[in-house]
Amino acid sequence: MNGKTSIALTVAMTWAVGSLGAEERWVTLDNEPLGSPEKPLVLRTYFPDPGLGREVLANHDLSYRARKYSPGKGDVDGFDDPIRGIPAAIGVNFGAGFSYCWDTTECRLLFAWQGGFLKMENYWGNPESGRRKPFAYLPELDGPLIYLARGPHPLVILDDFVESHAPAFSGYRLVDEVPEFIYRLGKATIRVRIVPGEKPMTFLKQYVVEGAKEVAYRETGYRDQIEKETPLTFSVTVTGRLESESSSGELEPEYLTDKPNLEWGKALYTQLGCLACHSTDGTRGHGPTFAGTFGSERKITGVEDPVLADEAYLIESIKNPAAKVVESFPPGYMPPYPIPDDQVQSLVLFLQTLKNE
Amino acid sequence: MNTVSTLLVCVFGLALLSGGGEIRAEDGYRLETIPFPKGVPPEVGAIGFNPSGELVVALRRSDVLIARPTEDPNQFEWRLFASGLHNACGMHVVSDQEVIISQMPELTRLVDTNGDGSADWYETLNASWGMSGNYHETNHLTPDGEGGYFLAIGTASHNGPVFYNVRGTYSKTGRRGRNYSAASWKGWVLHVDADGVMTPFCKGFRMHNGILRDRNGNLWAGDNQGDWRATTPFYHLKKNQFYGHPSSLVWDPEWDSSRDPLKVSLQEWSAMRTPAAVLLPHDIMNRSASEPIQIPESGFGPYGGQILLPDNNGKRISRLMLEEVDGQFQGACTHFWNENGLNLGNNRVVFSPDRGTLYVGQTSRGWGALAEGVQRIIRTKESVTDILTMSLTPNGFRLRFTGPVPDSVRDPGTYRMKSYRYEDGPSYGGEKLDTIKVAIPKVLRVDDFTVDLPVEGLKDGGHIYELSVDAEGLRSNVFCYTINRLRKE
Ligand code: HEC
Repeated sequence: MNGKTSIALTVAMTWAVGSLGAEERWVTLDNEPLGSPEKPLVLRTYFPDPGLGREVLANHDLSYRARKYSPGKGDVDGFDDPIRGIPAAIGVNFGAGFSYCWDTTECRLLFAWQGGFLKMENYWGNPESGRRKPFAYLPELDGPLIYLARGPHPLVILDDFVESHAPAFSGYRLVDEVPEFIYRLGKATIRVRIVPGEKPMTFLKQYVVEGAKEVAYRETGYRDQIEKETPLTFSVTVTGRLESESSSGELEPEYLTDKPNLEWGKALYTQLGCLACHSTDGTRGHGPTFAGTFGSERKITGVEDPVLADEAYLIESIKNPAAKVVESFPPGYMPPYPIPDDQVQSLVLFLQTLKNE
Repeated sequence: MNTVSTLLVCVFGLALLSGGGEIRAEDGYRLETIPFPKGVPPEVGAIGFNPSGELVVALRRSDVLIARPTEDPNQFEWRLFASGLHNACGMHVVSDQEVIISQMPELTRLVDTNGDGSADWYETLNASWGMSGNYHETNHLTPDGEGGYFLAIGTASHNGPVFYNVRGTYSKTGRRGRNYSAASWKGWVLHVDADGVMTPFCKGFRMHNGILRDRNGNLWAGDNQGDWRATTPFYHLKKNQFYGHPSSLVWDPEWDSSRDPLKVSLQEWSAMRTPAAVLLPHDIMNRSASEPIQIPESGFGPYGGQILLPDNNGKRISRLMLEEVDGQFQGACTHFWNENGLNLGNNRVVFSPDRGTLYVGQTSRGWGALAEGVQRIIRTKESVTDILTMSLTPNGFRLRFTGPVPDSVRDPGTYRMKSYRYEDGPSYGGEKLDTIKVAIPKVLRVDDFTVDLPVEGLKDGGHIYELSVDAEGLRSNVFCYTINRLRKE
């Protein structure tokens, strides 16, 4: 027997000694912890990203591949590529039936799955050696996805002019053991609690909104059924379906560059989710088409004279869409994109090529 | 190597048979190991006491456990107070119902609102720092005395990646280097006031895994030997100062964000940075500073007011003797505890409410071999004979003893001294440079408790004077004084 392992084993075993309190549900050396429908398990940790689009993660910043670095030599050959994880989400598991991942940065449900909860060994480490998996320490989802968020945030506050779409997470309360997440958006406070539904593959989102007058709710890509108690207290039954994990939205290495360029802009249009609202062929969507926008005169809500859509206008529209709202479109619908300047420039280069057909 | 392992296995094995509570004694103190509930890994991220005298322990995976200490270390009855936390790293217990935790993503208030013994309200107080997704970005807190907190936000390691989607802002220039600051405010100390509003406080840290506001209102943090730290440093923190690890500069509003902080010239770097108050030689003193704690004025032996600094990567706890010279803090370090049953991975510490016991929480944080547990060091009734302080005089060093100067240390032959220095730089750690022997020709009596050791040619600018005392019966035998400034009178 190898000396090193035997020490580790003995240490692990000494953990097993000790007096027991009452019936407690601690997290133990078991790297696959489970909750139950009566007492769900809540766990904040890193999460894998099973293929969320940029429009879902709009309030996250993007990282780049980085040149490998040696403390002795400085920059060396090769790159370290980013991995696809969610940094600040909360997981909830109701036993084998239902688990979900709710994000504190976007303040929305990111994905849900069935089967087990998380396999934590990559991150928590092997019980005998204590070591985590060096470059892939993300926990793994222990079952098939039944919901993967798409499109912009499903809940929109309509009455108030909300300048910033960045929600602020306030925390959560355990209400009958199930977390009720609380966040602020402008003047509104939103509380949401998510529980498994009665039918398979369904779940309920129970919303209470305060500090607003009118809200709209729409799930992109899933059937939702809304039951309103009052206009601001309602519950949404979402019907999920089996989804496959994908790595869509991954940037191709050649776009991971410092210099703005057209190819990169074209890629960002898809990856950042602009295409969910803006077409390039002249059709109207949630937002105006991009075809022919550049160089045209735009009619802006509340402004008498039209405004020229020059480069500065495009940059402003991306970084701060609330500054000038195109007539006949709702204010505050487009999320601001706090992305680095080289990405904005690349998008602008792309928009400039889109002419009226 | 193999015999050592076998021996260790035997020691652990015995501990196992006797129920886990290993007991070791050292002059004036006794060390005990406190076992945990079945299967619960005691990976201690943070530790505290609540007002009713119960020990509160936050574990790396998720949970916060509470137990009332018992005289028999094997009789602790643990209960669950909170769970679901992501790598809790700092703790301030406000009341029996309320605990503030700094976890990886945020500063959180845990409240038991209905009095059933477990928290049901997890309020986010502040989450203003970024998260790159790198495993290494842990943190720590200390109360500011006015309802707010100072937070030490650690950097990422090149031994792990970042996520494609990060929280906060990503910086390309901050991403470079061995330990890097790719997301907002990594490598900074932040201040969060009682209303949750964050103001950046000071910068230039690598892994300041422990921050302390002492009873005089001074702020302190250690750091880990590594890049830009030739050895383990201990810093006195002041607003806006830069403490030498360059990556964090990218978040300084006054720094040109396209400028690579690793490319500053050493000249510019030395002009910018504030040196450590105390350097702890990596090989003999401390490999990885964790939570500093100030010793109570009374109740824990003669060292009241001094600071203890556990080693997160060594079986030791350092004791610091600080003094103000020319308006700046500097001073000496020695071992408070070295080996003798203490685990590796000493991470967090707290004194019991009666001040007589130091609880030590341990973890390797999943970064190395297992070193997990809770131990306690209890002050016994035995008297302690030790050098209480080593301080600087205009022409040498002064040693003050815990009692009358023992006969065994009056002869100059008892002392050996050498001096050396370190040079920080981008590579990991650093060698001792310019090591020379320093002569101690005589020992001068100052009073019953104090002697002076005259030394010629004292050098400032971070020179370390390592003193070995070859005498029986002293608790500590090796002292290292860092001279940043000479004492003029
Ligand atoms: C959730 C839907 C949505 C997404 C996603 C979205 N937008 Fe918009 N965008 C809108 C709406 C609605 C408007 C019009 C109202 C306004 O001006 O705010 C708009 C306006 C604009 C305008 C001004 C257009 C004009 O006709 O004058 C530009 C430019 C623009 N968006 C760029 C982008 C880019 C680039 C992206 C992706 C990085 C993006 N948008 C993502 C909804 C969206």
